[in-house]
Amino acid sequence: METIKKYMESLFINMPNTPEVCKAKEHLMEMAEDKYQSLKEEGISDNEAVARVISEFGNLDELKEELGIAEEVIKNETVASKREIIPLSDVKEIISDFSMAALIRSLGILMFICCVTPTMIVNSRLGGTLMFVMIGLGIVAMVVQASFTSRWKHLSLGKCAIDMDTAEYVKEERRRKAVKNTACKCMGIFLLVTCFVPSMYFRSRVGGVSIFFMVGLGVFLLVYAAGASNIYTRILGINPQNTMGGTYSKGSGRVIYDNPNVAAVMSVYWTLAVCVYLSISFLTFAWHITWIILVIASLVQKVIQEVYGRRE
Amino acid sequence: MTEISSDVIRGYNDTIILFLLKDEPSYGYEIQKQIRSLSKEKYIIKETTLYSAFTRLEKSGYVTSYVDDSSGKKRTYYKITDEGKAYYDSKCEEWQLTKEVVENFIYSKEQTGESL
Repeated sequence: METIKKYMESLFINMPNTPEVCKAKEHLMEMAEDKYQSLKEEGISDNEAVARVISEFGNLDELKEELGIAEEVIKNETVASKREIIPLSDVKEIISDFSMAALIRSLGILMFICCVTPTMIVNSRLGGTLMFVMIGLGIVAMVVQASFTSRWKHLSLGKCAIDMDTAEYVKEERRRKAVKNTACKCMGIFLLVTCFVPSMYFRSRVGGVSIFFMVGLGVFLLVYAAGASNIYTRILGINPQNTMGGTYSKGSGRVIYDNPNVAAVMSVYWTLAVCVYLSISFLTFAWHITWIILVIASLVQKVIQEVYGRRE
Repeated sequence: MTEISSDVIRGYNDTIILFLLKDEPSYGYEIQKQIRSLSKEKYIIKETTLYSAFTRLEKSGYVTSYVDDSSGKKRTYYKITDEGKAYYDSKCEEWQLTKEVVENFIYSKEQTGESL
């Protein structure tokens, strides 16, 4: 039965996602399932039953006219049929490459944020040298992380698609990593919010240095968590949303925004919020109160999700 | 062996299905099985062909559908309407005429006793 289901999914992958098509798919699936079970009851082997259902299924060209979607399919297919299905092995590589890139990128940012600390601890010459070494490392990290992702550039050009199996794998992977990811985010926010605490106890350099380190680590964790989880969303969103293949990301709980402007803002929402938080905090040095910005940002996000977004 | 051309039979899929629905409501696989056995395995209708015919017939008001899951399986049954019956009769007449006309132009081995 699994084979039949997969076969059906592959037939429908480029079809537009309209109520008629969904109904046809459901209906045809029902007929195929009925046939498969009846054949088995008649004493036909599993393999043979599957082969018969598939060979006698027919093709969807016939339905295009019936469902009044011929035009749309043609339009879709000129784009969609050229889409190459990414094999699962590639998807696994993509996930590991992008996770690595996210890690290196966040380490680079950590270097940038902490680069002033050596000058606060050791004498000026050594401190200055260390500062430039850290900036250098940060730049190297940025270059290296880009090399990890650049081989997958074609992904975002709308030339690829994933099949149902891969979508299931990606969703499962994301579920597996969800706890770790949330832990990273919480830890990151916690560090950002509490970074001023040590400086209340240690008046001297230690307090200043600890602010930078905690902010650095906090941002490191947030950027890493965001980067690592973003790749799952990106892979799942690769199929065009107006086709049946686009429904594979369903049930992922992702919030989608129909308004493109809102979507654009929301994609960089937390980066923006952290930037605002850090800018205001470093400018005013009112760390004891500025953490409230992150709480407000979180509330504002919820409101925007309620108003503009809908869950898949 | 010559296979039946789907282009030729397409115009009569509706007639075949209506014939099978004439006496009692039926569902996809059952109809497919009946077509297979009544045509002595010469015509195996594809699922997609069947579905497209059902949609077309329903749109034209010749059949109505309902879901029955009393047997434990969810099945969509189709039931012929009075319009469907009338349409079936008219298609039968049309076929008689078609057959009569086309037959005049068909070269038959039995008639001439020659083989090609």
